[in-house]
Amino acid sequence: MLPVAGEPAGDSWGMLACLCTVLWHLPAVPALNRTGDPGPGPSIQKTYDLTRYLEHQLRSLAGTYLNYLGPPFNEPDFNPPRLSAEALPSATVDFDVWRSLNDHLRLAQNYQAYSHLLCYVRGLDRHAATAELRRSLAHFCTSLQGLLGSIAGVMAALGYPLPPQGAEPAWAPSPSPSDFLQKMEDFWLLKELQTWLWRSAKDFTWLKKKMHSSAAAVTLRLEAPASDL
Amino acid sequence: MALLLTLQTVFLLALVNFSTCRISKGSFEYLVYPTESLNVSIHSDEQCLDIQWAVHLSAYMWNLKMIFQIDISRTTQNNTVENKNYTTTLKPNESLQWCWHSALPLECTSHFVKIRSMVDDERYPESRIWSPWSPVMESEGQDSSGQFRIFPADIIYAEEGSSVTFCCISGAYFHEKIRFFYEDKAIQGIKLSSHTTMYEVNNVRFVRKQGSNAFCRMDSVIKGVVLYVGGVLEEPKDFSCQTRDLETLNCTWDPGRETLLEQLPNNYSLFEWFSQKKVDCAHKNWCTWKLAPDIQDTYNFTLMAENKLRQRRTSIFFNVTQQVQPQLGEISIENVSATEATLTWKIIPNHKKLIFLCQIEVSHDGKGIEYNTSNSEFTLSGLQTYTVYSVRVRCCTADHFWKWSEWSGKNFTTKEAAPSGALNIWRIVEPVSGGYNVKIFWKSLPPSQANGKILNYSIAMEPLGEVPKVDISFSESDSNSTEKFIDHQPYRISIAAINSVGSSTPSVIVVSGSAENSTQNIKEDRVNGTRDGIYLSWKPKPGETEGYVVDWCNYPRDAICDFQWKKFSPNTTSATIRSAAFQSGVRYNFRIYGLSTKHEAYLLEKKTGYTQELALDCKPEVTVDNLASTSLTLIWKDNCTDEPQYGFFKGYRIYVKPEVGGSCDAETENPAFPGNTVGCIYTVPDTKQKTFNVKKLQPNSTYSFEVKAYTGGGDSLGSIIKVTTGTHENRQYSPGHIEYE
Repeated sequence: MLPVAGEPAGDSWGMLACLCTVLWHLPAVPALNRTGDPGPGPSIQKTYDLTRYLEHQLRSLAGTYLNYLGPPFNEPDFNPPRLSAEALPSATVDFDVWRSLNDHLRLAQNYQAYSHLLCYVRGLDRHAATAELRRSLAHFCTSLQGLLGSIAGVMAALGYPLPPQGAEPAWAPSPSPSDFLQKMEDFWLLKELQTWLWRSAKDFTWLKKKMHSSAAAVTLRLEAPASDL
Repeated sequence: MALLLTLQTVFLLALVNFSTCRISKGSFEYLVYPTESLNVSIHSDEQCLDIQWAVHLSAYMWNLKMIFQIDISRTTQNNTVENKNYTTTLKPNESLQWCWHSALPLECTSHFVKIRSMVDDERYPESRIWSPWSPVMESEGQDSSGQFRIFPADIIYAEEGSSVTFCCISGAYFHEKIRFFYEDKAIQGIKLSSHTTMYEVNNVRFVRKQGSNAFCRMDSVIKGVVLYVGGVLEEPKDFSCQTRDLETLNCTWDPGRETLLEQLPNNYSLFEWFSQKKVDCAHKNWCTWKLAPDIQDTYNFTLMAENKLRQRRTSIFFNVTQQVQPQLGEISIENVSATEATLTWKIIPNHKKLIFLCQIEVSHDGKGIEYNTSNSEFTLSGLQTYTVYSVRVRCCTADHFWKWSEWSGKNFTTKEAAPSGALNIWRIVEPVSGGYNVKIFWKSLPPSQANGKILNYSIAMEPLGEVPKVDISFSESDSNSTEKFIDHQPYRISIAAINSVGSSTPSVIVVSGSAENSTQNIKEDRVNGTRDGIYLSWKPKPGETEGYVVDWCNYPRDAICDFQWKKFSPNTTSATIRSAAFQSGVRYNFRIYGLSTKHEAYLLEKKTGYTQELALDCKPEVTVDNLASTSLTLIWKDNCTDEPQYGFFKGYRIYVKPEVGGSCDAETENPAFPGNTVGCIYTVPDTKQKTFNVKKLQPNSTYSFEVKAYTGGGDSLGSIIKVTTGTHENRQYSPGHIEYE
């Protein structure tokens, strides 16, 4: 494995494993006091806002990062077939399936996706050539972590348990056999992040409407989400 | 049975002989050794085709010199891309091997290798015949593997400006649809086979740290590889070595420009030919080597710089005793006296074979002297006493100059010696009740005579009467005078300066109060001075004299008068006294003494003068009396005195200015007044005269009169009075007109 920029060679994967373990054991947000509280609405709104903010951050971050990878990765319509699809959680799902998801599952899928993605994003630091890019990545990771905490908060407010934590204690993304394939994976990570954030926005809009309608005892109005899910 | 055995043996022998052909052509026999056991494999680390082969055993035993022709074809068997003549001398236990570097990755297509041999030995000139070709060995390419691939597949490094060859293997895809890109440019290729096309990228450049991407593209399917481009490793420049102690050798060089790639580190190593030792260097521009000074003096070093792509080397040859830059230990300074000091220092390396040349620089007060020596010690002499000296030493090898050591420096102070010379002393004697007060002054010894720190001054008072008695007292080192009371006896006073080693020669004067008294009647002469100084002259003293002394005060009107004196040799009878303290308008008083051989002083003359006189600051007030038509009397009052300041008061000047012009009579001067009016001046050279009769005036005319006191420096202020004389006809006393201003 090539020596990683700014980190001791050979130790980077161990470090990532350590980080992901820490992440996996995120403390559960204590359940909000139900009496007199405004309900989970405000935290759903906050989570929604976070996803939009992250989307905005990702746009500039990805642009810079893909330029570092070089052509073809920074081509605007680059869309190669996915190879190592299994490792990364996929945001795309059949529309009917998506609509029929119950709240718990909807939230759990988001939570699991972002915990995986966060581990990967931390690994991008190895390619960051400038201090500026490293700062953007660090900032993005912090925001992503905030999103994870926010989703956990919503789940706790609704009385759902967090996804099982003991399942994969020391999971970490494995190094790629070739530098080109590693670049490809980085490309897919950024693309998947983009898709997930887009999907989360839809998820939380859906949840927001549900809470709102159930609180005001108004018929739930189903809006057709974006058709290209 | 025996026949069968014989037949078998013959058969075997024939078989053995078959691999060693002996071709008979006419009466000669030729040796030919066809190759056998040809083996080819891809050496992927080196990206070369590893070719191994052998010949029959007997050829090795004869140490034959042979040429092997290696023919390599690509894709098809008759498409030769390489034809190498490999020459070697066969040695026992040495295998025959050659790795062929191919620009095109070996996995791209199949390669076919065949070899034939020829004996190229001068022992057998007639055997220069090619053997038949060996059977062809194939190294299979990946083009028929059925997979879509790019080669090279792993990380590649290349030098800036070089060319890199890639190939795309289409596998199951339609080959015509495959395109190759290097970064964002599509590159045309050369088709090698139905499944493989090769692409050459020329003049690769460094684009970014993450490398350049080369990839084969089939619609949206991509197979790629990252190419890292580094700078060309330069040959190390200015390779040189030196030692400071004959134990460790420090070698330095200039590695040249950076190769830009973190992934492609450059390694430097030193190899020494005589000792056959190698050392890896941890730094890219310096390295250390352990020396064995008793074993080896001459060294032949090769510095090798290498990375994955290239190797460079440079060599130097030297004798280590000629590459020594010595080091100096601290200088030790011993046996310091008032005028000498011995310096010793240690030189590293302390080796029997080495002779050094050392430079010594001794300096004080900005002046320096240099010395050379081949020892490690030196004695300085002729030094000044009690002086701070700065000394520094450096050495180099004497036989072959390489480099000076650094300067090693130290300061030291020579010891004190007894003061040389004698103090310049003088005195003032003043009568007081019961006796006289003697103030004795001396001037400090200059450092060149003090020879050390003056601790104090000794003052010995010895009355020259009947009772022999000496009273010795001491004065602090920062004092320049002392006061003693004496009675009416003469006293002999000796003063000496004392430092830690001894005292100066005592300076002696004999003071007698009564002798001083008798000189009160000497008249004071007035002298003229100039801005330059005051010129004094005196009559020489009859009899034998030791010399003359002139004394004065620089500030005669202040409490601390700053007493000064100057000594003159016996033949001198005049001098110009100068002082930066002399000011205009101040009267300085000088006393001139003659010194006898018995150290007695006799006052000879008194002088007084100014460097520059100024006008008095008084203002005479004038009145008129006896005003008539042609004369009047001027009377004035003033407080002008001859004080010892401003100037010598000489008298009065009377200025007469008529309103209408006239002439002055013979007694007067006719100067040009400011404004060019005509006037006359009368001079009255008597300070006591306070009246003046002005005659020969014009009747009925108006005159201005002014009376001023004058010194050598000009006139004082005066008050003006305007008078109109009376008329002539009128015998009566007509007072005329008086106007005071």
